[in-house]
Amino acid sequence: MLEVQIKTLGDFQVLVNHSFPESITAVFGPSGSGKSTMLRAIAGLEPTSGLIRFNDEDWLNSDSGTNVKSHRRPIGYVRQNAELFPHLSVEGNLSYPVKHSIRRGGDIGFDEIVSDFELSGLLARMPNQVSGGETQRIVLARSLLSQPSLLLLDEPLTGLDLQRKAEILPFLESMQSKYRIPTLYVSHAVDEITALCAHTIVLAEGTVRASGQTPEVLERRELDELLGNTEPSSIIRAKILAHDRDYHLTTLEVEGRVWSVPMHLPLPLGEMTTLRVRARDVAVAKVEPESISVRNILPGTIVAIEDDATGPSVDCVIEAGKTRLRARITRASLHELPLRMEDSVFALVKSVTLG
Amino acid sequence: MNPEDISAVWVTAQLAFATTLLLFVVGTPLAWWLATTKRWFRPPLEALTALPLVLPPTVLGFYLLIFLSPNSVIGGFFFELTGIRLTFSFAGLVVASVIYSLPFMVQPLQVAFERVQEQCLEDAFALGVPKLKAVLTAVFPQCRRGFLTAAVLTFAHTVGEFGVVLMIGGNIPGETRVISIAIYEHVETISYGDAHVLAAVLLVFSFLVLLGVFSINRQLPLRAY
Repeated sequence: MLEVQIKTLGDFQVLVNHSFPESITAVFGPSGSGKSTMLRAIAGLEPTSGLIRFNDEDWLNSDSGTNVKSHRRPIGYVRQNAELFPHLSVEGNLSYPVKHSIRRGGDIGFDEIVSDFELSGLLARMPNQVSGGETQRIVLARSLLSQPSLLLLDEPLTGLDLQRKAEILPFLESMQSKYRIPTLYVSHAVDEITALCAHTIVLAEGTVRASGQTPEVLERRELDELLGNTEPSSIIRAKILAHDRDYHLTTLEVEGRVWSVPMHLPLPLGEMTTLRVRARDVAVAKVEPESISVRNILPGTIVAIEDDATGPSVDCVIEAGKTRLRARITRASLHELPLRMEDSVFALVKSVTLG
Repeated sequence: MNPEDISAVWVTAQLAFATTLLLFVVGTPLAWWLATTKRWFRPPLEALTALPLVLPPTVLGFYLLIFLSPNSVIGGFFFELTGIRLTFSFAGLVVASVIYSLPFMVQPLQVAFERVQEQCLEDAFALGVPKLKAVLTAVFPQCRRGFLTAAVLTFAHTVGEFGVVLMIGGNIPGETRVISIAIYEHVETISYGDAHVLAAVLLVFSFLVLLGVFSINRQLPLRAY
């Protein structure tokens, strides 16, 4: 458990008061919202006042005058655009914490990490001879070899294209399931967050604006602007059934129905993932249509009709099991079909975005 | 070469080695401090460090003569403590050379330290490495070129010293007579043949040293500054 009640003392102030659970928490927010500053404060790299307590141990306590030095905080910190030590080979970089860290003799072994991160072929290379994606993998592996009890990852995948991200995400996932190290994961990419993080906090202007389970937080409409969703949408959970590389489609199960969506990050089959469906991409039918190009159909019940009596459109919320879909239709259709509360309908989803 | 000139070469070599070694010990922390501090007194200290570059050696030598003489506070204290005079002695030459060659050690090191990414240190801290060890293992190895350049420039500059040596060391054979002084004396006494030999030695030595530095710098990997 990580308890943070801090005020950073630099030019940019971050005021955070939050308890992080023992799992992987996404720290989300627009750029300049203080995500990196908060992570640096927890790492002890930023002048800060207040309280930081990890598993009943004070790392910072301004009242008692405690401020544990950075190297004595058992963290693994991967900063944005992290680099390797340029004077050491890949092997030298990986064994650097093994040789020099004050935290030695932990459970995480060198050979194990090298094989988990598939680095054995790179060991002899120098940092300028490995790709960006490989660098990220090495940096992550290196931080694990310092035997951290808390991982602070500051946009570890930023700057990589989808292909590279897809290469590294599985390493991050297996790292999580294998070592179970509590993690704060800074990102502004929804697909990374939904793939990895059970919890999410949203930061804006240096303060926590929202926190909770990832799907719930991402769905909260008052956060849309902060999250960069200028359009009303729904977040739905789906299970990955198959990846079809020929058609570039991923097949998913949503409430017992099979959907196909544009190729997702190739997460393992059987994993849950999250999709964002824009309200204007959802149509509503009273009978199940056949011979239609829309492939993603979900039967459900109308549980809310939101009509602010301005403009041409209204929002219907359709519920099917645990899934709630928001559909934006014209007020004219609402009246002509007609649609009423509790009606059984079919939601037709024209397109989805990842995460 | 006559025995006196050989002894001058020997004195010069000893002086240059001692100066380089001492300056390495003193100059490294000073350069690190100058490269990393944000305190207000950094500029005055930088100016002070660079003074020997612009001051005429006679001015420096004059002040050193005054401050190091056994009748002065500093020189007197040192004489009381060790029984060694700091004027017209080899020890005095070393002290003077350390001050005179200070910028040649400090400036290349400072530049090298400043070029290393600040994040390197933070990365090392986050990996659980204490500060001194982080500096020694994550920063200094990236500054090999800086160290090499600093050491060679300091050595070569000390070998080429003349004015300060003359002021504070005089011309005592086997003790303070270095090559440059010996050449001056040969010219004064119109022994041009001897002057030619020593001058050629210095010329060839200086060229070879610089050639070595430039060649090695080219061979070191680019990322290791």
